[in-house]
Amino acid sequence: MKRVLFFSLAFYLILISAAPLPAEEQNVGGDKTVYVEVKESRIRAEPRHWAKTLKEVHFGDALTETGREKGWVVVKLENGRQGYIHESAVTTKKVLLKGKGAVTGSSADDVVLAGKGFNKEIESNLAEKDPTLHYKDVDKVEKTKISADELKKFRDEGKLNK
Amino acid sequence: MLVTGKKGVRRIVLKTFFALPLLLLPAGCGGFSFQAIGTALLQEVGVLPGKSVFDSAKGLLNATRDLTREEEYYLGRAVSAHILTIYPLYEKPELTAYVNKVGLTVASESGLPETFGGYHFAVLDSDEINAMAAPGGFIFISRGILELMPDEDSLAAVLAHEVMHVAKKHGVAAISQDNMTRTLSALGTFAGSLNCSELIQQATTVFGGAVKDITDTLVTSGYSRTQEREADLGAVDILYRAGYDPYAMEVMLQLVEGQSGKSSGGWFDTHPPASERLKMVRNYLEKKNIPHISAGKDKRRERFLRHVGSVSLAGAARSGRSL
Repeated sequence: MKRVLFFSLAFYLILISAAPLPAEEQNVGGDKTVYVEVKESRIRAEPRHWAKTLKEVHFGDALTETGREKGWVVVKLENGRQGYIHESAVTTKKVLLKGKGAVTGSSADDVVLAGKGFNKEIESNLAEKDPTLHYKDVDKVEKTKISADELKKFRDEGKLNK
Repeated sequence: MLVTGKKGVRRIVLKTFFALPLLLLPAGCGGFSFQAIGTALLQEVGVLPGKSVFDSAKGLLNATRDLTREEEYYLGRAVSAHILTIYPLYEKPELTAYVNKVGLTVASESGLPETFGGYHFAVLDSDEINAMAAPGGFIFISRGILELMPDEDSLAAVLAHEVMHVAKKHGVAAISQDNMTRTLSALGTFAGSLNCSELIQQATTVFGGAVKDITDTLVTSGYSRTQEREADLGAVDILYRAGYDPYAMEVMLQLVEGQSGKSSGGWFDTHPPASERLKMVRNYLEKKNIPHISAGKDKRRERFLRHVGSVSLAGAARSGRSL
């Protein structure tokens, strides 16, 4: 019996040693980590949608938040410079990309499982089941892209967002 | 068969201790890693803070707001693919680019300026007076409603209304409770799997149910009065913040009201009566003491006519309006 209990305890100790850190990471100095939750976004020089782009970021990228200002997250860049990204583009939940690590969050509240659930695979399956769906037209709709410079020019000409 | 003796007790203890982690694995193929099992065990006994896997599974069944941004995007693509089987695209690249510029300008002043795949605006080749928004930021307006508009501020008003539906996730809320429970249950199982083809089929079927709920709401039944009110009044605020004349919402509703009785389908089927919405918007403008904005309006009207031009003139001729 003692041997059974001893080996059981050893088994659980091995499991415990494999347990990860909690999902929300805290950096030194109280800075938090936020993750980009949209396909692509921009870190800007000022807290405005048409301010100069300092860096382009992508889904899953980790950023160091140093504060918030009226709906904008203040982030620290690698060169020590400060930039702004809108809070709708980021999440405090860790974004786990497909093939990059197992589910390590303590609960569904702490992680975003990228590529799981409704994804490209489900879409392809749906399109195969119902070939009348006009996904090619949806792709056309998504192809229209307006650059940040075009948008700024548009706003300035129309005296908008002042 | 009763278990007796020391050997029997030992067997039970062994089975219990080694089977316990397996009770925490979700059903379906594959499962969480040993790391997750370790964390879950520590949480169950209270050593680590946070929820256990059982609470996580229950959390996954929490309705309405638990879809990720990426899932909303794929839902939006599927709903859009449905809409585009009913209404063809009006493929005029310059007009489409112009509508996108107005749309992105108003979206930047909403509570959700960034969606997973970004906002995209398109014109549908239909005479119906109509505008629709799918989850994730896919927004459609008909040629019919464009023809009704006198200027860019009116276009901004309609697009701001649709952006509000996206920002407030009204599309996702249209998924019935049954379908949402089935959806999230399937996602919870699927998320733990390793690409089992039968789970993909299950998830696809459930996904199709959710897509149908949203499409039916957009095309047939419409949102609730509360949601429409939220979209109308939110649009007024967006217009003001963006620098458009907030009274353009009133102008647009007056034009739509003027068409009721002459037109049917589209907005008339899926929205409350324009007269009701007009009264509400007017009360809001007065109560909040929101001023008119005229700066830049002439320039904006000029470029509207340049881009929307022939579409707008044809519509004005048909309805006997002058621009």
